[in-house]
Amino acid sequence: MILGIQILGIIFGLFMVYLSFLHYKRGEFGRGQIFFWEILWFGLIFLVLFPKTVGGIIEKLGIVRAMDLFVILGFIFIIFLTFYNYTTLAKIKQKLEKKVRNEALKDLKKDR
Amino acid sequence: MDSISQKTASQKTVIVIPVYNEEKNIGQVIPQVKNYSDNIIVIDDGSEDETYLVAKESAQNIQNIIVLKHKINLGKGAALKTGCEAAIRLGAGVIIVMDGDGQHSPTDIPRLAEKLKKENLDIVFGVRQLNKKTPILRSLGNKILTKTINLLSDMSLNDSISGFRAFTAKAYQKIYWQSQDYSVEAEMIINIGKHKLKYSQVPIKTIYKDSYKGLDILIGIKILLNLFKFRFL
Repeated sequence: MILGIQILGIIFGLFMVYLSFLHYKRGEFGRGQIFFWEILWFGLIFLVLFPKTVGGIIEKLGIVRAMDLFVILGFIFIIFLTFYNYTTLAKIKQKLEKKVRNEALKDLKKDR
Repeated sequence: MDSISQKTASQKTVIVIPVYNEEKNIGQVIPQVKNYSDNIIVIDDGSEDETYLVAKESAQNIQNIIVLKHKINLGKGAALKTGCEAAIRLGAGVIIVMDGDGQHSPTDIPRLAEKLKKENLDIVFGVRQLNKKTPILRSLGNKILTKTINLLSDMSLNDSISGFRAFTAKAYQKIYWQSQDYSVEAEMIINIGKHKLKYSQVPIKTIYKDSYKGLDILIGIKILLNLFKFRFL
């Protein structure tokens, strides 16, 4: 029998499959990217439907339920994403600043 | 006067004024500043109003005034850096930075420059006199920030967020900041503390305007949090 929380997980997974496909259709994702994300989302749906497949890992890690493993993995992923976004944003800001400054300083030569 | 002091005294002084949406004030600020300095650089930080045109117009018939423009708004720290980079390229030995909203009085420019040169300092801070006219929230915020900055930089300043400062080109290389926003003043101080540069303070006049749009409580909190990043990271 499928539990309520599993239905929620499946709906979320299917929504993300569609969203990733939409990005691919718009040309925002390349083939490699769409492949990675779709594998990830279908993998999530599979694990939500058959949580016992991770029984061995759960036992080795000393975790009681499959749900706890998903929550822990979710937190790790969010922390990684936050760090990745922070560093990417900092890089983009620096590049933008440099570009805007160089453009502005071109006028210095004209004014002199 | 020793040889280093003599060298500083003869160095070219450039005033750097970052502006953002200051079409109402910059037209008055430029001619006033011109009375006290021959070299002025105005940086329009991607204003949405006519600041750039007004500044260009004001500078049209005056020599040695350069108006630069950021195509997009980056923040005060980034605009100041562009201004300082331009000043260095023009051969500045001393850089004086001040706000372009008319809150700093150009009559204080010679006092800051003189103190820097005569006492052979690396940086001189313009210190605002907090009085009854100072809005309570701003006064309280300033005190909290100043105390924290003093603690983290091991310095003793009376007004840490005043944007009116004079420093040598050599000191600029050491206080070089990464902040693009209003955290720039705080980062500068932390860097001064790290490099143990010679500093002093000069009291300055401050004209508070009704339409003040600088620091608010959120920016204050952001600066406070950034302070720890500047000091320990």
